[in-house]
Amino acid sequence: MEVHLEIDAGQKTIITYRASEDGQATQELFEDLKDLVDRQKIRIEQDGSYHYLPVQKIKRIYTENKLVYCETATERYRLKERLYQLRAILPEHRFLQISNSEIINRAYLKQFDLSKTGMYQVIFTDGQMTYASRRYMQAIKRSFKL
Amino acid sequence: MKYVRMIRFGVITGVFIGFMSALLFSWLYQSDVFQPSSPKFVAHISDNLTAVTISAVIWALMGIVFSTAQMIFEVESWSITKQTVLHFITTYTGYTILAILAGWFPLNFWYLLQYSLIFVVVYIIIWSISMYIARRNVRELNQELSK
Repeated sequence: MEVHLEIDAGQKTIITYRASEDGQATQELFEDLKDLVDRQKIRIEQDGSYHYLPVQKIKRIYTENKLVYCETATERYRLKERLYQLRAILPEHRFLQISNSEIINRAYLKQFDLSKTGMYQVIFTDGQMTYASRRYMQAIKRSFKL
Repeated sequence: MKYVRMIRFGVITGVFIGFMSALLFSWLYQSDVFQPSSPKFVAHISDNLTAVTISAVIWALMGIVFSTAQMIFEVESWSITKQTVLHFITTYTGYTILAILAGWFPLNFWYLLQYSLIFVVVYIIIWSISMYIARRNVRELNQELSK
C-alpha cells in the first residue's frame, strides 16, 4: 500500500483512505485511522515547559483576550495554535464549535438549555455552563442529524 | 468598512421603498403629479422639487435606521430579549421621528398611542416566535443527545 502526504494550505485537513473494495480489513483499518485521530496529543504550555495532552482529556477550548486556552476536567492550559487551526486537527465527530470563540468535546456535553432571556446554554457533565451562539445553531443542529 | 456597506445598503433600500410607496400612493390618491408625501406636507413646502428632495433625504435616513438596526442581531453575545428590545428602541425612535418630520402622520395623541401599541405588539410577537424557535431547537438537540 502506498502512503502519501500532501501539504496544501488552501485545503481542509482530512485523511481519506481510498480502498478498492469494502471488507473487514478495510473497515478495521478505517476504524484504526479514526482512532489515531482521536488519540492525538496536543502540545500545552505549563510552567514554562511543554507537555503533551491527549485530546480526549480536553473538555473545552476557548479564546479569551486573544489567547487560546483548553480546559480538562481539572486544569486549564494555554495553547499556541489558533482556534481555526485546532478545528482542522481535532476529530470532527468528537469536537463541536459552539461559538466564534469556543469548541467543546461532545463527550463532556450533557445537555442544552435556553436561558429566560433567550441565550443558548451548553451544560457540561460536570455542571459547568457556557453559551452557544445563535449563529452557530444551524451548524450545531446539522452536526447532530448525522 | 462594513459600516460603509451598511449605510450604502440602507440608503439604497430606503430610497427605493420610499419612492415606490410614494409612487403607489400618488396613483391611489389619483393625483396628477407625483406626490412624495402626504398632501399636507407637500402643501407646507414651497415647491414640489423641494418636497421631493426632502422626502428623498428622509427615505435615505429611514433606510439607514433599519440597516443599522439589523446589525444588532449580529452581536453573538446578546440574548434574544436584549436584541429584540434594542432593535425595537432603535427602530421605533428613528422611524417615528422621521415619519413625524415627513408629515406622514398626524400629531394626534390618540393616533400616536395606537401606532405605538401596534409597534409594541408586533415586537412582542417577533420575540415570542424567536423564543419558541429557540426552545424547539434546544428540545430537538436534547432529544438527539439522549439517544
